Amino acid sequence: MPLHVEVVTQQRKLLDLPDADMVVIPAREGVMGVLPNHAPVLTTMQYGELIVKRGNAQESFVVYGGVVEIRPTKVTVLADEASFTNGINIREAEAARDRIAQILEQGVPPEEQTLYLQEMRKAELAINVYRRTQSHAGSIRIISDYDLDEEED
Amino acid sequence: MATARDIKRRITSVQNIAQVTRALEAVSASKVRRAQEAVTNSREYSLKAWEILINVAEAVGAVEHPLLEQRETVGNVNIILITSDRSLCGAYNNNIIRVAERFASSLDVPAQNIRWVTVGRKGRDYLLRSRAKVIAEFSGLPAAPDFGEIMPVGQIVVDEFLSGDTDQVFVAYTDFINTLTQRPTVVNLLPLINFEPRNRVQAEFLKAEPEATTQGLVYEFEPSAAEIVGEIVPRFTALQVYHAVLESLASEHSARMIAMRNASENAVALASDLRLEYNKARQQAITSEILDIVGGAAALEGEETVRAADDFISRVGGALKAEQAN
Repeated sequence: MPLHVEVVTQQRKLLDLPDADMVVIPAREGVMGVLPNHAPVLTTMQYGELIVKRGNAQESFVVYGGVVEIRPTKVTVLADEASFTNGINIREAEAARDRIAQILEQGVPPEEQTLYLQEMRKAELAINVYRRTQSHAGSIRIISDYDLDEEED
Repeated sequence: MATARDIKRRITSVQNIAQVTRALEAVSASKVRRAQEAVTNSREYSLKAWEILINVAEAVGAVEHPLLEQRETVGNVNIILITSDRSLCGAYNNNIIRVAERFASSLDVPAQNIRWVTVGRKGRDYLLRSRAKVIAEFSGLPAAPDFGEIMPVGQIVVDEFLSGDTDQVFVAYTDFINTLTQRPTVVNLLPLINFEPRNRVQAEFLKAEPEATTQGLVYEFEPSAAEIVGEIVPRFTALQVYHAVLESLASEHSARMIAMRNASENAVALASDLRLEYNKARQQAITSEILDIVGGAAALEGEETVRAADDFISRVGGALKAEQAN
């Protein structure tokens, strides 16, 4: 029995796959692998990598928190923020990380510090997940080449 | 009758206006596409989040959260009114303001207990003119706002609700249906539970809420129902405001595009009417000038010339009449 997976962010719908085999969710209480016929669960997500598998192909996302609704035949991921891992611009992510590190070194007002630290975590996560997927790139097929262009016209 | 020069001046001004409205139409047309895209993309999340929330409420029964609490007596009511900063968009602002006012007067609270939060200059200006109580206003929002830029709007009403300054919050905005149709709508924001319309006006404008789709599923909550509700509810409130702003923006741009298209068409029609009038005025001016000259010559040169002149006048007059008839 296949699993219908939807990944939605506030900006757009990233994925709508009616026949996935497995979803790996970075849930609040630890990483969770969901197969079809899973008991209904509602859980929150932490920052991490979300993986959707179908056959020997998979699609990886970087998600920054959110809520997941799991039903026997359907998984709905409502991400606060998310992107395709292979849509990440690694140079930009690294530049962002370095810039934030620099700003933090120069010192910021305490009320802004958490904001910068959060951005730092995001940038680092994106870089780590990207590296990990790239290291075994080629051995894993991507489910499909989605339109990664953020910018139209 | 206006002189040819006056009419000429009006033609120029009408043509200038047509140029401006055509430019505005083009600008709106490009904005409408982007706004439409933003709204359809975020609608998905909005709907899903709403569904989950209702499913949670259904599954757990009484979930305890301050934002879900229905107060026994409703003292103050907040209404977030979303309008545009600029006009030249047809009846867009009028429609939503009228609906918001009618909705406000249909509530069981006196007018002075309604506290408005406005997004957009037009709504603010109107409410201030009518001496309503405006507790916060947001204007000059960017053309394509992101979630963070709208969050403060939701934050204000959440704070007000939690502190007890207000017991009920609504959002009045314009739902984008398609380019030609936009529907002024009111949606219940807080407390986040189903608000039953109490009279015909409310039933007409209030947006229906989706139904639970749990189909009797029993959810497990990780870590706990309370925590998940705590995660979803505040986010969801802000999200609904954000979504309302996006819907309104798409509506505004479509309304402006249509209004400007009509204005351009009217300007073109008006210019061609004026052109006809201008030609007539010009011909008349020429006729009377010839009459003047001929009359002057006749006075100087006596009888014979007068007869010749009469001849000439009747011929010229005939020719002009023929031309005018065309």
